[in-house]
Amino acid sequence: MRFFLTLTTTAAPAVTETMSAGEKAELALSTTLTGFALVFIVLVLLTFIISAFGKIGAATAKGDKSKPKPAKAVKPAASVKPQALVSNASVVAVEDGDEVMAAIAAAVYAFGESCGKTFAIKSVRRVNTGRSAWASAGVRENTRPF
Amino acid sequence: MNILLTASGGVWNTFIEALKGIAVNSGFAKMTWGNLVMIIVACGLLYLAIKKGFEPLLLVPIAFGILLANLPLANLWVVKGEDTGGLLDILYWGVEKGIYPPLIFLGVGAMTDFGPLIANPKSFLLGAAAQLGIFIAFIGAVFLGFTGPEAASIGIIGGADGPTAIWLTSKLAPHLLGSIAIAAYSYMALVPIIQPPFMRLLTTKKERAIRMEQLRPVSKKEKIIFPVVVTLFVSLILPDAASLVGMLMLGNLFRECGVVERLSDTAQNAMMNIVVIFLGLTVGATTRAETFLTWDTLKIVAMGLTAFICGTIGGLLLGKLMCKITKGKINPLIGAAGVSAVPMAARVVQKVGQETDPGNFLLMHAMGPNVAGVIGSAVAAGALYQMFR
Repeated sequence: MRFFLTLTTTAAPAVTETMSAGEKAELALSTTLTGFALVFIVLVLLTFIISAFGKIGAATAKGDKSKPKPAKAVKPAASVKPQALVSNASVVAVEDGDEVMAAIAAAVYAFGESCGKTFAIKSVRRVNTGRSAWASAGVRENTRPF
Repeated sequence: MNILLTASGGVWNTFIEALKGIAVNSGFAKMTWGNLVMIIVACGLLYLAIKKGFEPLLLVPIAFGILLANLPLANLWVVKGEDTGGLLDILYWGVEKGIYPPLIFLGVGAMTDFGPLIANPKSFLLGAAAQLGIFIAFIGAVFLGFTGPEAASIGIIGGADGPTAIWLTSKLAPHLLGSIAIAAYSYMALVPIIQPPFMRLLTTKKERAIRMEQLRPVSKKEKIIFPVVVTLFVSLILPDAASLVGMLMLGNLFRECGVVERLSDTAQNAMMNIVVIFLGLTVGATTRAETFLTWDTLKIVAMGLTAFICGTIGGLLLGKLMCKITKGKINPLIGAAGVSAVPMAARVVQKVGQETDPGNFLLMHAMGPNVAGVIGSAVAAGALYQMFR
């Protein structure tokens, strides 16, 4: 660290009017090399530090996930008929589980009621392709023509 | 009758003399060609800001500051930033002491989501490469006869970051502040016009069509740790960059920690707006005809454009290199967003990418280099200040 400080403070006289072209070139190149190298060094080191934090975070999260958790039984919403029960064994963990499951079950029940059929939800899993409606709305908002 | 005529003649003469006196002492009589040109420049900037929407939040107060500073006899221009002057002189104190730019960074930090950068830290490299423009413009300015500190202030226009440019210039070359601020904000507004030709020129259609993998979700814990780590690290290496980077990261901590929403809201809105008014108005008021209408201003404008173009090229070239190294996983276009100009440069990347593939969404990938560019230009400013103070 001391090296950088020494390097940078010894550069560059302030006045260029009386300097020859060679001296100007020296000033320009030394400043450019020092400054650009400094910017790169700082940001490269930040890259490593932030990457390391990300990896530590991911490892911690993995550790938490690997701990056995009791399977979440999703209860049907009050208005949902017994046929619309969600099979406990086949449910894949979903973030904010209960509310999302209740909403899906209610939507499926409403759809079934409207067309006179009864559906049973066997499993619910997150599809990784595409983005959520909120994310799509955000992208659309940010990418409107200028 | 004679008495009445004599009296009315006297009143008439007095009236005419009074009018003459007002005319001679009015601003019209003292108006110079320089003042007139500067008022036209101010009106032109107001037109661009209001009608064309070019950075209106800053160009409107800057343009009106120019207008006020060039009103003959009004004495509204900034003299030396001491409390000996009037309203604008006293407000300029915040520029001279380097107070407003870090406060603006506080607001910018509170408005910025560093999530895309944390999710893909390699973006830091693109933010660094896009600082190339600063140093190329520095070289050009030295050969055009500017002193080292002046050249450093001109080069920082390439950081495409108004507060950083004003911060460094107010410390190293305050006499060039008006020209540099106007050049910086004008080019930032022109990013959608300046960048796309070079983006198309330096990338192939195949490269522009590359779809990047969706970014991983970033936890709240990471977002809270990030500003603390960046502040500590950057400030310890470059103490001169601490005021800019520290305030940027404090604003971001307000946003991410979730327990000081009122402070975050004030930093983003009320405080930011007040500081923008003070900064824009006083920077504009430094531009008097005799200091602005010079060859140096034209040279600064030319070097500013060079800086923007070279910054874009630097980011794109490193983007291409990273594309090759990762075997086509990185779309090189996102390198162009490393010039800062948040979020305009990222939106330009999105737009140019969609010209080739309408289903390609590069915006969030471009936001990484974009916000890395803000940190990069603050680091570059700190480095230049350390070299030339």
